Amino acid sequence: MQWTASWDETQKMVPREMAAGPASAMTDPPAIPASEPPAASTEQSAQRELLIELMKRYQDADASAADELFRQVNPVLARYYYSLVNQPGQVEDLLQECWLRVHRARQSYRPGEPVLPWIVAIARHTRVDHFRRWQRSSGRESSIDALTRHPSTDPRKALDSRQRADAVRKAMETLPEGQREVLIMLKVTGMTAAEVARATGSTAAAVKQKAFRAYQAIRQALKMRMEPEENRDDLQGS
Amino acid sequence: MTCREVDQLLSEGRPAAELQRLPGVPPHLETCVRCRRILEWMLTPSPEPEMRASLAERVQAITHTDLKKVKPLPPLGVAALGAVAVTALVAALHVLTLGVDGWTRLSATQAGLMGGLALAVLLSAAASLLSSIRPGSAQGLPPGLPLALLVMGFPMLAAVLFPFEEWSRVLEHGIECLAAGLMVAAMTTGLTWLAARRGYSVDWSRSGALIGAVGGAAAIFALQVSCPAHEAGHLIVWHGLAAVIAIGGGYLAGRRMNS
Repeated sequence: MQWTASWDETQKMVPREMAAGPASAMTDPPAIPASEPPAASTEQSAQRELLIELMKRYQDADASAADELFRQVNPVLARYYYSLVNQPGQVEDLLQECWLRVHRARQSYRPGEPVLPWIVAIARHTRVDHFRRWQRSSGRESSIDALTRHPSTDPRKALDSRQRADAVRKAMETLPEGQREVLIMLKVTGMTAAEVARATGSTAAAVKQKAFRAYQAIRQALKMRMEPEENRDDLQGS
Repeated sequence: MTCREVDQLLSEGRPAAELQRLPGVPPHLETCVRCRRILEWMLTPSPEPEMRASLAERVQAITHTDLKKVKPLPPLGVAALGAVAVTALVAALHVLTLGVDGWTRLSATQAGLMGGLALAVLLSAAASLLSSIRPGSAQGLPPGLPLALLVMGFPMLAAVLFPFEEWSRVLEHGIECLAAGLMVAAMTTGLTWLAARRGYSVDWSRSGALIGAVGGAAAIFALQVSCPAHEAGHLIVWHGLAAVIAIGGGYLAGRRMNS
């Protein structure tokens, strides 16, 4: 069955604590009520606490904490920028600029608050400024091509997965900027809707609404792109 | 489980891997190609571009060269007290120069409501300003609240509390009041701006307008204390104009900083 294959494939990609295995997941799902807000896993909570601690030490002029913060957060920022700007050279410029701003603005972080929304808000602002300058110099921001580039080593699987992801990627290109950005933040940075709201200076309800509309638009776009037999199969699902 | 419910769960930021294991989701995914594709996309790791090792060195050079202990921005209560203190200081200077003729002629209701409005604008502007210069902070009050209180609340309150007289009287002493109000607003705005520069604003136009609102609140309060012309038209036109100019000036200065 197609989904079982995809399941196997995708379970390899999920974090270890999530990947309990397809069989157990299919037959014995944990009873998490659907209406409950997403709770951070132990690892996620520990990661958040670590960042808060590092940030506090960074404000106290601890150089090793600054280095560790960079090591922990830079990959997230790199993925975020790469999802929006498809050129590694530009990503590197953005990262350097962003870290410079983080350093200069470190007193604006309030101890005890989540760190990632604070840094992502600065990263987002850095990108907006960069985009303005780039627009002035007649540049044009590329789309999120790289977002779905797949690291699989099996070429056949990679192609299938790439093609499937391509459909979503193309659908995403049609979304308004605000919706697209919210989806990318949710996917790439792993923040919750409430944290994305902090990073974008919005409310959690507005973020959820944007994401919900974005998913609905993607779904609609996929419906138009999909093969007739897939649509037939889908009739039972929705 | 329906597609709509899947979208709702994803919109909350619930990880796709966790979502797949919720009761009711796997059977839905068996039959819904579109949900499957969206979840597959969510589960596909985002690529991380290869960065040169020199990036870490460059960032290290930035952070290590100028690494000093910094004091975090104050909590909301302290920031609000600071805004009130700055306003009180500037208003005191204004009153020392122009006297308290206006305040002594106010009724208790007028004094309470006009003073209360100025305080409400001041506190809400301080809260919104602090939020706007601290990236990633939760949105509490709507940032437009202090501006709305000042631009709409003040004229409405003045119209209710004070009588309207002939238009010829509205123009009397208007320019003096406007000039004095702008002086108070400029001083308060300048001091608030200096304090706000410690933060990091992602939108200086908004922060500038809020700083202007602090100045505007100081202006209407100081003028209410010193100005003996208790006429609604005068208050709305001249005192209100000082506040509007303070907000507009702050907005334009912030916009300039943005670009």
